[in-house]
Amino acid sequence: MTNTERKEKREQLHSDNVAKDSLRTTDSHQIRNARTDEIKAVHNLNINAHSGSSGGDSDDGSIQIFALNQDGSKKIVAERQKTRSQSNAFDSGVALALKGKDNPVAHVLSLLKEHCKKMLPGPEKENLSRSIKEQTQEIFPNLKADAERFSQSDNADSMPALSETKQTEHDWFSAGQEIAALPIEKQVQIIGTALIAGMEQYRNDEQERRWGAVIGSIQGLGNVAVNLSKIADFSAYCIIGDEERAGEMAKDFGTALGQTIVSGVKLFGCVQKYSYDIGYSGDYQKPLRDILAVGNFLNEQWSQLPPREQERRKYEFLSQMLADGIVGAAGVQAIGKSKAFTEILDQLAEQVAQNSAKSIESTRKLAGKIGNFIGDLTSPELALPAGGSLKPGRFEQIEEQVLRMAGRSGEYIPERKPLFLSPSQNKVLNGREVDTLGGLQKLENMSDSDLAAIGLKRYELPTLKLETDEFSIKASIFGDNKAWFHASVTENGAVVLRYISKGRLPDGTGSHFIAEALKAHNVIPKHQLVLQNIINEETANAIKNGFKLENTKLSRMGTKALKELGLKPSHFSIERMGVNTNLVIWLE
Amino acid sequence: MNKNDLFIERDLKLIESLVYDPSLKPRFNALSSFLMWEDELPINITPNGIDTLSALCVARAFLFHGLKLPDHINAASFKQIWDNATDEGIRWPGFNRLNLSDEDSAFYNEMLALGDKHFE
Repeated sequence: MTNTERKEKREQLHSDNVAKDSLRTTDSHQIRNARTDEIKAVHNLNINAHSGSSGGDSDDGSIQIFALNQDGSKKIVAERQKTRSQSNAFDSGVALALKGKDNPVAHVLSLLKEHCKKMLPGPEKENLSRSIKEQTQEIFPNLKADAERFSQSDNADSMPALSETKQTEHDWFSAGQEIAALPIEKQVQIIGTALIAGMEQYRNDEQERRWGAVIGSIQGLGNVAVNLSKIADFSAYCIIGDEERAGEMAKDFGTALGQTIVSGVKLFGCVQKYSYDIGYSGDYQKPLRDILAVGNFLNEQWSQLPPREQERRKYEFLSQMLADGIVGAAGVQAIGKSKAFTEILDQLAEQVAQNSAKSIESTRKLAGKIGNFIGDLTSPELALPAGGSLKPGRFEQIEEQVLRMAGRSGEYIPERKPLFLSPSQNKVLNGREVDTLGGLQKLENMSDSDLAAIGLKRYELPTLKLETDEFSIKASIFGDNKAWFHASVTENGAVVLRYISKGRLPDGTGSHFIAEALKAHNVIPKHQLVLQNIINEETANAIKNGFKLENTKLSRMGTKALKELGLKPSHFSIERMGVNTNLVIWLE
Repeated sequence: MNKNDLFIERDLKLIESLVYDPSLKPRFNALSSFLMWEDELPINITPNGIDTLSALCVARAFLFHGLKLPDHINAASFKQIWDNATDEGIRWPGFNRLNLSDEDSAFYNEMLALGDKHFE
């Protein structure tokens, strides 16, 4: 990120903060905390009281934009879409809501669908809508038929509006509990989509509140999503180094995270799995990275406490939980084994989920206690019982242009490709050589002995060993410690390759190794593949003599790797960044 | 220039927690023509931190291991980073590998001789 971009980003955040300052007035707090009956009372004072539907309630085409023809007659160019009356509005959403009465998955999906309707039009809304539709079709393939059957039944007119369901102050708890009750795969999908949707709603709601137009509209799942968004937002301010704002948000953050855990959601495990599942595809969203970052932040703060202090804090907190009946002795033991702070929180969520009978008041208190436990780690100083205090390391300002990795670890068996090795040359044939021997089809159809007769054998890239850390994706080959691949991904999706060596792999396999390593980590470069810090004679000559960069072997290796990923370079350039000279392959 | 000008505090802590292991064998980075050992690159280091460590590897390669830098590379900039890091006493295991063993030297020369064949 350039200094100018960083400055612009800070200015944008400052401007957002200024806008948010207006939300901290006494009036705005009263408005925010207003009960439904208070709101209705205010609405009733309006002598022009209206249903809220612009221009009317029925299908009267009340919003119309028309143009005047040359003869003065009106021609409608746009109008509000006419809606069916409620009694006839039998769609999959209604059927879903009905199913939701006794099916928690359907209930969560119907809440998400309802939430989606309230979102502003845009890609986030479209993505969420598509995701809900796909999940609904997958889980309830007969939903459409159910909806049609219901529309013909006598129950239709007694169907409550979705907006009338689940409108209580503590819906974050019940909605969270329902999410926590789902199978882990479903939890992961819901948390992922809810977080993305929640961030959108959180921002919209803050704006709407400022206008005073909508009050108290966030309920149920919306609250869960907004809690997630508050957690992500806190992290975002920490990352950009806005300590003042982060400090102001710390209490909200603790409460939001406390409420999420009390409802039984294993947030950090879920987000990690979600990030792992979707990798770096286009759906990878910043709020998810922020949640991962906040997890890392909490773990780092926790790790700075001396081990004895960690144990003391952990068991002091757990003894409270035990005394309150939130966790049993077995739960204390399970949580006690957790080392990372996020593991403690996820374990706690699991224990809380098992203890389902809780009053609203006790859940509120519990959320507060967890919030305090977390809040200690976000304080500027950690007080120690024996006196003195620790000042944990500041959340380092980490360059925003770099994605925190959530890549993959373990083994990866490369995709099988028709490769042919010439053992005498330790070289895999290239396309031209394959053509010379009659083409790929012909070689593929040959038996092993026929191939051996012409000095060839089939070849498969060995199993890759994958590793990942906060910022890098890595790959190597089992049994060949000389082969390695090390890269990172920028904010705009460009892949920066820093280290590569094919080690003892045959010649001709470099591009396959790169392509398979990227595939293994589910990383597809966007815009650019950057080959960092090039110190290589052929490239140096190309630069010095103005030769075409695309003709160097290095460029050709990059091009072949991209081709295997279905990508095509548009052009090549050299960039100088600090002491580094980089070869940039731009993508079409 | 002090330590924090080269590395942010977080990265410096990671680097200085590395433990030198003389039994390790080097890897060759074909992009930048230097050797690097596994105990020289901490996990979770930021990309900026990796780039500075890479610059130290480049400097070590041409100052001690015999790498000839192409014309387009500004050797003085790399040397400056090396000098700053050593002056500040950064505890990086890579400073223990100024002289290559015969085996490592043979491996490095073999890799350098391959030149662009690395990219085939």
